[in-house]
Amino acid sequence: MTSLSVGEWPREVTMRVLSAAVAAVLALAAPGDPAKEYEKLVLDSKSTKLGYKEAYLAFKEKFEAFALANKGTEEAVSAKLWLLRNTWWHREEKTMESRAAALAEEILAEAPKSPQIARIPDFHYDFAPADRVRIFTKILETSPHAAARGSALLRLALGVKGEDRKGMLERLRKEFADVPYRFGTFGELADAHLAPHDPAALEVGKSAPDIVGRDADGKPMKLSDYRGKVVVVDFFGDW
Amino acid sequence: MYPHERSLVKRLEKEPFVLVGMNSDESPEVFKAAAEREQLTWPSFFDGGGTDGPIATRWGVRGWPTIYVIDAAGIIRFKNVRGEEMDKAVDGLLKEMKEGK
Repeated sequence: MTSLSVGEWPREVTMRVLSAAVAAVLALAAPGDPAKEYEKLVLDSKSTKLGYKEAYLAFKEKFEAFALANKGTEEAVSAKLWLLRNTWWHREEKTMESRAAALAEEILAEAPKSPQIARIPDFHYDFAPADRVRIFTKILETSPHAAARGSALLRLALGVKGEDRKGMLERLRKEFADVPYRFGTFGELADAHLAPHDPAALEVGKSAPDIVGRDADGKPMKLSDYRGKVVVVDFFGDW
Repeated sequence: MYPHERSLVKRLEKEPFVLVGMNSDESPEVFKAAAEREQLTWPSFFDGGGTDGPIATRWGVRGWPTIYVIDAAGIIRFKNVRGEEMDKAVDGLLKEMKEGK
């Protein structure tokens, strides 16, 4: 009889044993600790072999129950944001918008001071237009966090056109210029939306506008640094 | 697209040529993982962490990849050329430079 050393296990088996062990340790260490309990829930939801939609459907009730049992905590807000992110899977049955609005309203009622409210406007595409305006306006008027108010104002601005949009973007630039948003600031984004390049200025034969920005390590760089060379500018992403 | 761009950059490593990426990934970590996996050695801007970042917004980019080929004087000479077409565009501009046009 031969024995199987750990090194010979298929990687998949090793990973499963490890994640089960981590989950067991977390469960033991955390009776009644919402942070640990939530961490375990997220870990469990990620360690299934299911696709995104199936994993959501399999864990939906667990996240709902967790949010209910821990109402008012940051972890309950996290659980509701997980549910909000996944309302997308209800678009075909036409309940995406109503679910998104209900979840956002619950978060605002149960944890109005949560800094995580800043994430709600990132799911703007899940809301019906009227809900979006009502809920994002409430965030703008009531959140104590500049990141949440700025995020709400940005999405309110991009949801309208013309002078209304311009006015809101100018307010964003004035009041939230230095507030971080994702990996930049609201000011940078407001500037870009307020002064996009004229498409005619980006045609063949025109002088390329300079680009001033940063690399993934935050190091400043400029397109004009490469003047004197032939340059291929490639807008891309890893998807 | 990565293999083509990698071979273009490699082939022209001694020429006055540079490929500049405008990365729209959701985080620097996602980009860095791709850069390591795909051996992306060229300079890249990181555009704010999404497809609606400030650079893509200002340039009106709605589709990825979007390509601009710019000559040594900073003039836009080609748009959205891919594969062999990109090679031909770049080689032509390098030839122009050498002939002093």
